[in-house]
Amino acid sequence: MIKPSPTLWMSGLFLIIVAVAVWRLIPPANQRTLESDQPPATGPDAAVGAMRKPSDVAHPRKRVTLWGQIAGQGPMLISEESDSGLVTNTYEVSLTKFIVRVVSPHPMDQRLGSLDYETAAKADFERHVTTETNLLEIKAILEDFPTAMASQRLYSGIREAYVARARIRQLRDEGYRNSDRVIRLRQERLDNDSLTDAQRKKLADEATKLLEEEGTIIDLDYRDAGERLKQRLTRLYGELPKAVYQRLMSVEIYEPAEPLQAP
Amino acid sequence: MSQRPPSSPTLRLPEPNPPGVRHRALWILLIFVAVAGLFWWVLRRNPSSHSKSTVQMKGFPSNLPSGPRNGGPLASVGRGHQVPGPDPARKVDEEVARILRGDYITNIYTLSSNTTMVEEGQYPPIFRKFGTEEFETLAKAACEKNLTRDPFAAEYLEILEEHPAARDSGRIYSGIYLLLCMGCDRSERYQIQHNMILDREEKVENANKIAELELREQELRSIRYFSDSEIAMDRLKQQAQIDRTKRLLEYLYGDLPKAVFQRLVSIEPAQPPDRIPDP
Repeated sequence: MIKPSPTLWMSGLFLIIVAVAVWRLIPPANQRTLESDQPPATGPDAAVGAMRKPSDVAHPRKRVTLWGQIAGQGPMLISEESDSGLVTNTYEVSLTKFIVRVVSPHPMDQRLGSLDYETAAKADFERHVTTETNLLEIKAILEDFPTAMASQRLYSGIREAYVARARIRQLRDEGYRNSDRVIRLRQERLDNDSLTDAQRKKLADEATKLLEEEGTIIDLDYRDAGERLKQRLTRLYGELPKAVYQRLMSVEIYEPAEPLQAP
Repeated sequence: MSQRPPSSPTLRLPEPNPPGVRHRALWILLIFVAVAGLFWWVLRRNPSSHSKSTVQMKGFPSNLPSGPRNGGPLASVGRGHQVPGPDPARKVDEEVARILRGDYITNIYTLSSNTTMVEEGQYPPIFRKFGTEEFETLAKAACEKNLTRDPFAAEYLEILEEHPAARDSGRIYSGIYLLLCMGCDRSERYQIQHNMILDREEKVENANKIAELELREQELRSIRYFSDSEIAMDRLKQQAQIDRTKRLLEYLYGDLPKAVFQRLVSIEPAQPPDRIPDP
């Protein structure tokens, strides 16, 4: 029988320890890929640097929201942001009628992506989360999105989704309110026998205007609110997977969002 | 090294190996032991890695309920032993079982510590066949128009096809039918809630005309209390309908991750599906 010396046993044991240590130290291939995508530093400035990478490509400042499936099939909204921050919304309510509205956004809106915005968004989240508990759901969805987590701008994204969902609810209610006004005007026209023809015509015109112009504008704004969220989150994170966007769009927000207060 | 006894001429023992050869053999043996040990350690560390990846690649979840395809909707009750993973019987809760039997379902809404409301309802009789091939065929016919004309409704199909449990279930249109009904119910609820708000505004306007201050305040408090309760109740009803749809989808597919359901809930279909005729 071969009788191994203690030195040999020690060498064998050492070999096993070294092999195990090497195995533990080498990360799996998928982990290595993930880590290489993450920013090297964790500080806010480093995150800004990492986050800015996708935004180096000039982000679109124009959105086209269609009613039908292709342009020209129905009403359309072209929303364009100028360098000064002013937003020009051009509503094509019919083939011959265009309505242009210029909106001056809240100054904080233009600071999306900055540390100030993130700080203000975090404070806003903490202020409202007790009453608007679904903000936690928005947070959970964005926490599942690695790019948002790595960006150091998680609360900015939460704020954007919160504002969009609140706006969508508000626009939905405006739509119902508008329809209700149309019904009332038509009812008034029918019920009131003492009205002159001119008054009847005025009521009918008002109802038509509400239905065709205001109704269309509200509907286009409603459709555009989701597109705006998509655009702003893409600007913030560099990408926005459709699944993440759809999940965010499922969250109910019940109260209007207040303007963001500068920190 | 010990001295060997003299060998017989017929049975010769091999020559002893020189020390270098023995060392080499030992090294090889140790390396083999180390490699075997590592292999064993890796397997112990992640015993399910191989089987998991196979399941994902095949896209066939282990917890797919066998009930709907093998013997009717209620057949999945008590059949948990057939498949590994979560017990499919768990997916048929009391409410789903009642829907499948065609019984009344009861919802109890607690609005505050002293306000509880009870609501009873019943699904159409066709839901006794929910999960069967027959229901699937009828659902496909009922949803066809929505899927071709409404791009939002078509998103349901896209999302469900991305979810292996739904894709492989053979019951994708039954799910779409449910989702279309849920989507339209949500829209109706939004309108109902808005009408409640309008109604409140009108009542408040009238109450403000009351001259006596105390009486006016009392009336306003009363209007707000009942209106808030009414709206809260309707929101709960809306949520109950969403939760019920989720449980019915879980019954169909066995597995429905929250992320997939959230995506489905975000869709706002333009119109309800054609009603499936009752048997």
